[in-house]
Amino acid sequence: MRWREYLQRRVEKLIPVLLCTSYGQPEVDLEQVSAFSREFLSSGTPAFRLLYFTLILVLEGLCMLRLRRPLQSLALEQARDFLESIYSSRTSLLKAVPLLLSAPFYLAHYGREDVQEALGFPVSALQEEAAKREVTR
Amino acid sequence: MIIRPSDISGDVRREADVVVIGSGAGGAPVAKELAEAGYRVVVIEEGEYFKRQDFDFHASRALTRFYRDAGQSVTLGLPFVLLLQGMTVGGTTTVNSGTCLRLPRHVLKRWHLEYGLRDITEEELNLLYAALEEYLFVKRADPEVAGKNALLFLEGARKLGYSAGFIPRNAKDCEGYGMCPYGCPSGAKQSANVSWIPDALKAGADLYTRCRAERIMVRSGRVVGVRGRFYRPGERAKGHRLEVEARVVVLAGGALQTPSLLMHNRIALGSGQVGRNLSIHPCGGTIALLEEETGNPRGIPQSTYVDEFAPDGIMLEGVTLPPPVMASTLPWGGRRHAEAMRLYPYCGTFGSMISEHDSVGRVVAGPSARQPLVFYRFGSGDLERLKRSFLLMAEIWFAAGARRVFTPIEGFREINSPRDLERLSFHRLKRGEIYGLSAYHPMGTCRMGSDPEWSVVKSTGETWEVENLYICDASVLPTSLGVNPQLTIMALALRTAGFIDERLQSSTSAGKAGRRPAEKGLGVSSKKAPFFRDRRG
Repeated sequence: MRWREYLQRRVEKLIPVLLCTSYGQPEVDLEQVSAFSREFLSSGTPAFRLLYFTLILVLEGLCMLRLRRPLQSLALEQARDFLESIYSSRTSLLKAVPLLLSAPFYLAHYGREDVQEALGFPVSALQEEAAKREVTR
Repeated sequence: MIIRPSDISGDVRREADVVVIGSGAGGAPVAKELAEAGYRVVVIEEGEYFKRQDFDFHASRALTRFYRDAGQSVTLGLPFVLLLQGMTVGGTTTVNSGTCLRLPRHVLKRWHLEYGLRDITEEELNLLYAALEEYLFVKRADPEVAGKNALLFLEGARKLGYSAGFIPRNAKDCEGYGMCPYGCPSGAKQSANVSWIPDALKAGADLYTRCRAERIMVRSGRVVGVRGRFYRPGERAKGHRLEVEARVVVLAGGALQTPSLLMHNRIALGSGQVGRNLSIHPCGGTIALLEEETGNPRGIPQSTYVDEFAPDGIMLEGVTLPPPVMASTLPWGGRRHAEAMRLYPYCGTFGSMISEHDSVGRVVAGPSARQPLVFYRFGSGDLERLKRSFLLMAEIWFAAGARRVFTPIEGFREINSPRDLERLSFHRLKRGEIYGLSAYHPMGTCRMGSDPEWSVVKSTGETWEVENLYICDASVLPTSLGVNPQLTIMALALRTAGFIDERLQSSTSAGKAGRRPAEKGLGVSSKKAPFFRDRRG
């Protein structure tokens, strides 16, 4: 159980590093992303969880190898620069590491109603519209 | 009646004429038909029964609630492929796009010639399809609500002279909310949870939700019932047991779960084909950056198709992605990802579906019956076909006015000009160079055939080895269809329901327990006139 909590804390630390927002978009809600990621990982397969946590360790190992410093000790912009270097790597498997790690974060952040509405998808208005409309056989 | 784990206070033991495991495209029609014919039917479903109100436009939440393993199941092999399957009452029909295409003639011909399935005739299938299309309100997608994304792509395809059109779908009065794969919020899509299952329940079937079938009970070569266990999500403690003694058991858990259950029970394995011959429809998607807003994901997600290349095994079908799903599929991370998502309103999306020729797949028993391992190796021909589908989609997007097209191919993630297209066409694609593939419609793992040496079930759907054990899902389809299979699965399910009815009637007349009097008349008793005999009046 402790090991799980430890890994979950690691996941939480990765959120601001992996999840960037562009100008004018709603800010990341760390708690919301963290809660969704926890739910997403716990409803999936043990194999996926194992892979996910292994990839966190791989990413941290890479950081130690390249920068001789643990990922957590880097300032946010430094950590993001480190990730950019991985995204632009020629090895596609290496690129896949942060891409896979960030998938639950993207699902969480871009799943928020205000974020979707900022992108032109009026979730709450559609919910109201659909609630009034029921198709019967 | 619906029985949930919260309604149960102890182990349940009961009898039935038929137990159906799974409530998707295969199980639900069988349950409805046999319940309406007056049999005591019990349906066991691993997922929960969600209603229209639960489908609330939240794609991320839908993944964790309505999909098996939160949509994280992948094939083992390069490139890894995401295999999305629904796990809810209605199975994948609840979370599919509603596409209803008939079996292509050349595929049926192959079934006749290579698999000896000559008694599945085109005439019979056409009658079944017609009845199904009427029951499910199948009609071509309405251009009014198809969505701008789809119309733009269609325009591009027509400019290039490609054969294209609107997809037939099982939706009634669809408003094009764009959320089919996350549960239809208006109830327009006629998935099994709003059509077959409610009708089965009305006819007296009992549905046990959140219950996993674990043991298929066989005595002297004949199936005699099923044992299962209820569970509550997130709870490790084992739930109460369900034991149903039945005359017939219908396995309809889908092409991954059904062979896994057979392997864990060590039954019907004599042909050596259970779990083998896995066929999937690998799918790739392109994202185009357009000059105008596309209104995504509003519109019908899968409303248009380009079938010009269907004879080569490439079908292009529409897809729209709500923001969270688009975000998790983009091939970039960090700042570039954020920048790309800012352009979401200008993004168009379309997908391709490959009918395999030289790929090999297999389902192997995993640590538990519900977690099989899926191995899949892309053949070089299919990789090439996949690459060609990206080329075609990019070409069509450019004809539709796209500025840039994004693909999941390493080295070609951004295609800006015809020159890039040419470069991609000469590139020999390797397995590790594609990211973010998904696949749908697993098929063939308990294939139907005329010989017990190389097939698992007869053309009636009954297993060769265990009497009264029927399989009624995509696992019996002997080959890849090249089109979305739900209508064909349902057609074969109705056909199988007819054979089960015949079997039950003959065993009843031989002195076994009788059935309830039929309330709506018999709809399935003969394979020659199935399903709609009562509707003809």
